Amino acid sequence: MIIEGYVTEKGEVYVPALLIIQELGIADEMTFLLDTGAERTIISEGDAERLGIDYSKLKKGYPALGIGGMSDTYVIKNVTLSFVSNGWLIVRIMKELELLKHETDDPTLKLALKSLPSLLGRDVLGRKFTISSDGKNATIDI
Amino acid sequence: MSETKTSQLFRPDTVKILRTLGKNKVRLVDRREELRRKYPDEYVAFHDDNVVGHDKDFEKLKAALQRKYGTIDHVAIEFISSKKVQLIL
Repeated sequence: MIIEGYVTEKGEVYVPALLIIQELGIADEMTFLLDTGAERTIISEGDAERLGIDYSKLKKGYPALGIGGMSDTYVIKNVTLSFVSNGWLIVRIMKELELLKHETDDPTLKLALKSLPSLLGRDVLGRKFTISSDGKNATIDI
Repeated sequence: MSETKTSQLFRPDTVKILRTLGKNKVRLVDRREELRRKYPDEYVAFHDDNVVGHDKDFEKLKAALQRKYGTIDHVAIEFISSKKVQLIL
């Protein structure tokens, strides 16, 4: 199964997807940065804000540990992510998806955190995958 | 844990919208340094290699874009932090 992505000049691969969260009444297009090192697919704080997600309605998840430190996560259930695949949409139904939430009083860091991308991780990629890029377009075979 | 299936339940232009959004996003990322100088700590809306809107308030930007263009699902919108950070994942 092929998922289409797009490649930046620096080689980052962004994957567009339609996110549907039924319990929150959200259906919106967004992009994920492909991250083969991420154990889970995760929605960043900036994207959560843009999607209008209210963290107070969500259950707290396990803390997330990254190179930059730790942050809280919140869990949303029964999410569908649809990706473009050879002119069609491939739908992935996910029992859970996590949202990042950093607690900080540093105003500069707060602003910088808004620019963090959401990550497409190995829960979508699985164990066997191939990423191909021609420098502009990418295909991820999962 | 999760399952996949194909579906035709979505509006027919969703594929086109997603492809355009993906292209807009990478072009925005490619021009992030230029945008950082011009629009520090603002949300920037980007389409077809052009900035189509910017504002410090996301909801204001979204409303202005919707008034101007109607649907904006294909427009890449990103907060451009004035502070340059390295993304180490």
